[in-house]
Amino acid sequence: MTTLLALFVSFFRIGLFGFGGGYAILSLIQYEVEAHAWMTPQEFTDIVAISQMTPGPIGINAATYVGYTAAGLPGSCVATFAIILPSLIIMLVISRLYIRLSERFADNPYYRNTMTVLRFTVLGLIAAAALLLITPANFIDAYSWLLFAAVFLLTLLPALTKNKSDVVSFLTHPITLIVLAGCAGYLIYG
Amino acid sequence: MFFRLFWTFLKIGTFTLGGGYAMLPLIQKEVVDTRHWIDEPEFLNMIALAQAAPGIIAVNSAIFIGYRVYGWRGLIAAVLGAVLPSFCIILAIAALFRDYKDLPAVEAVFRGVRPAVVALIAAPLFKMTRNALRATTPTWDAGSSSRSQTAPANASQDAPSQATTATWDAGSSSRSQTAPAIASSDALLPKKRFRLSTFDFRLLYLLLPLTAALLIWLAGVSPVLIILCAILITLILTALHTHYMRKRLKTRSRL
Repeated sequence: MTTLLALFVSFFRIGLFGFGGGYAILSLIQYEVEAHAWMTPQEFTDIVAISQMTPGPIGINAATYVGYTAAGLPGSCVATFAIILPSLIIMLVISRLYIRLSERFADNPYYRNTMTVLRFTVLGLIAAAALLLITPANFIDAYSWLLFAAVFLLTLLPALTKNKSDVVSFLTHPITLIVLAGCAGYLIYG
Repeated sequence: MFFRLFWTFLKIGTFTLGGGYAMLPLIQKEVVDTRHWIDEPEFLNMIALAQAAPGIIAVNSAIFIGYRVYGWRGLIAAVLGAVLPSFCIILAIAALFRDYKDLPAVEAVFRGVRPAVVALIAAPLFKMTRNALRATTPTWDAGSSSRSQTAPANASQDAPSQATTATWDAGSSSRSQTAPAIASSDALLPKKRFRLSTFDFRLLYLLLPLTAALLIWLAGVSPVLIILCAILITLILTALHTHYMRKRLKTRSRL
């Protein structure tokens, strides 16, 4: 029971102060895990690898795994719930505020300028996320770049050819492309 | 609606490989392009809010979209959908196959997926930039056009829709006499975007993503800090600009 409570407090704190998502949260989890001696550093390294190799947000993956290792199934439920609880509260307030503001202050220059500037700033954030992922670990050889170029062009295909048929939109759906890239990876490296 | 939201986020959650930003192309495809639950300017604003708030970006996005589309029930459906796949898969791995990551087949598949995810994040940027420009109406006036060279964030009179453009034009008809012809003519014709004869001031907005991307990529600045700074600077510049315009109107009415 004390372990469950400790898990809840730790992961609530991680969710509350985990600004920046993903990898920023992993370092917070590492700190808490080492402070409570829930697992060895070696086990934690495994978590990072597993979180990256399974679908879903990295923070959720890591929380579930640590919770399970520390206190079994109840532990994983508590840790996962605790890490999303702060998001739930804060994002709910922000969403409500956003919806209300967008109705009431549609003509307010402060509101409009902020939203316009954010819209463009976010494009930079997305570009930076893509640039930061171009690492030797992700791009190991020429095949990686070939796959990158193929997926890039396929994603742009509907816009370039002005073709909006069902076949094209199925082929260029992100899920289809991820599955195809996984198959290609298995054929090339497997 | 509950199940449609749940199903959509279940799909998104299952195929998010690599966390955080890898989810965005999926959300964009499913929520913006296919279902039309929110439009693209709002999608971009949502990313900014999800990034600025603490917690996991994917969960934050699910909360925002779920609540925006279907209130409380939507929020629960979207969060459950986004969290359940990864929860179940990790549970299975932690309980049953702890050496999952050492399987050569898994590593091979992920070697193929990783570069694909980078491409999926980068490719929609062109379309998103075009749509963001389209959603922004250039209505600069003489007061800010000189200053905007140094501060692209200083667009005090941009209207998000045609409806508000019309009200702005009506309200500031006295001001537009001195404003350059570009501002008023482009505001009346928001569809005609890139003309060579006149410089489109909206292009200055493109300095924003460029600076932000370089700051994060090369200088390692935190994205959260950039969003907060962007909000703060915009509010200050808007305040300065409103103050300036009000003073000018006052002096003109005195004349």
